[in-house]
Amino acid sequence: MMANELADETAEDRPISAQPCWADLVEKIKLNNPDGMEELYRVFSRGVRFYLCRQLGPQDLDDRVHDTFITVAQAIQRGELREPDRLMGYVRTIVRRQVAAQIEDKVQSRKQAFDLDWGLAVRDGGHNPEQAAIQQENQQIAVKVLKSIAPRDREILIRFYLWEQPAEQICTEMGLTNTQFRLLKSRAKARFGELGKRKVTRRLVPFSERNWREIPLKK
Amino acid sequence: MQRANEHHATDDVLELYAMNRLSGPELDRLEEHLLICQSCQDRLAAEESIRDGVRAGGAALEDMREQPRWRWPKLGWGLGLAAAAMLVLAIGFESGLRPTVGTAPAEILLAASRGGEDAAAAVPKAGQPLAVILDLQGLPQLPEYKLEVVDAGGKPVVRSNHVSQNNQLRASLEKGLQAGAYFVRVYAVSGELLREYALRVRD
Repeated sequence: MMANELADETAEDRPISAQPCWADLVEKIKLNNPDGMEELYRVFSRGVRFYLCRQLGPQDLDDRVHDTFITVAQAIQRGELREPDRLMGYVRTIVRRQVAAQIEDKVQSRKQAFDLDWGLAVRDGGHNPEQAAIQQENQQIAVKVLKSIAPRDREILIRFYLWEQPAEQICTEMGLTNTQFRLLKSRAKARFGELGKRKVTRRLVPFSERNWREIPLKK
Repeated sequence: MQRANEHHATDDVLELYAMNRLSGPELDRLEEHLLICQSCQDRLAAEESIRDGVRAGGAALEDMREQPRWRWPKLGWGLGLAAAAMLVLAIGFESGLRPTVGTAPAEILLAASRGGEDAAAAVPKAGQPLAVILDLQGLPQLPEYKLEVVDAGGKPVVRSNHVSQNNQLRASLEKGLQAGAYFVRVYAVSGELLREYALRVRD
């Protein structure tokens, strides 16, 4: 059985942990029950934070998460959520609107800043020196890891992730069946992830300990 | 008790999502599920870590391969090249190296900077052909970039794909731009905005 199919089977058969009853939760929030707000936060806070951080970055994350929950709670109390069972979809809609609003705010403030004090260079999307150093180091680790995996595995990863080629094109150009491609990609990803972790761990081990581990025993 | 979205995301779905290739009802279902499932959030983060690692490492490897290696030319070729170079220089000095006149493209270098802007920086004229050079220093090195020029209202004016050379992108706008304020944006092929520059064109 292919590794990926095995993973899919496991993922599909594994139910998520018990969720609250959405209807009860919505009712509590409508009644302004503090337990309801607490439960709403407990269920959704990590996911909302994850989504917002992924879309907008870590800046002002706490405030944005807080704003999201306030918006959701107020909307529920105004009766805007017609179907309590659709609470997850509703929260998602609110979060997406938050993201869109933030992006629109940024665009508008950039336009205003440009009008007030224009120049040839406005925004540096790059990193500060510390972040640049971290990025450089991560890149070096990634290069070493790619060099250490099998050439065919490396090619599959680069074609898929860097060149963003579709599976069909990769199969055609590398002479693979779809099954082979899925298996090799799964293996390559596992290998890349494993080696990447090892290299990061090696860097964190104190020098003296690392040396001690590497001295082979002579027989 | 009502249960919704009882199953976790498959590896394939997370992969598609990380590559911005998921859409429609499947996207809706996954994003709703990610709001409440820590396990799938962690799996997505791991997937994105692999994606970013391969992109960073792969781009660096490609850049290493593309660096031309200097080799000393063979003696005969070397002497011939030297003679040709001297001939060009001689003609150049003879002609006085007169600048070209007419509608030569204005070279505009766009670079990211911190602090005050240079008030004396060149401003192209409306309708003048432009050769825009974008400094990519500090950005991830990718095999290809997307370039977009939008006007002050955010409306796209130019869109094109480019390959970087020596950490720069060069784009020709043969008809130039109308007077006004513009933003020049550089994206990764995936659509991620990497950097934005401002550009003003005078009447």
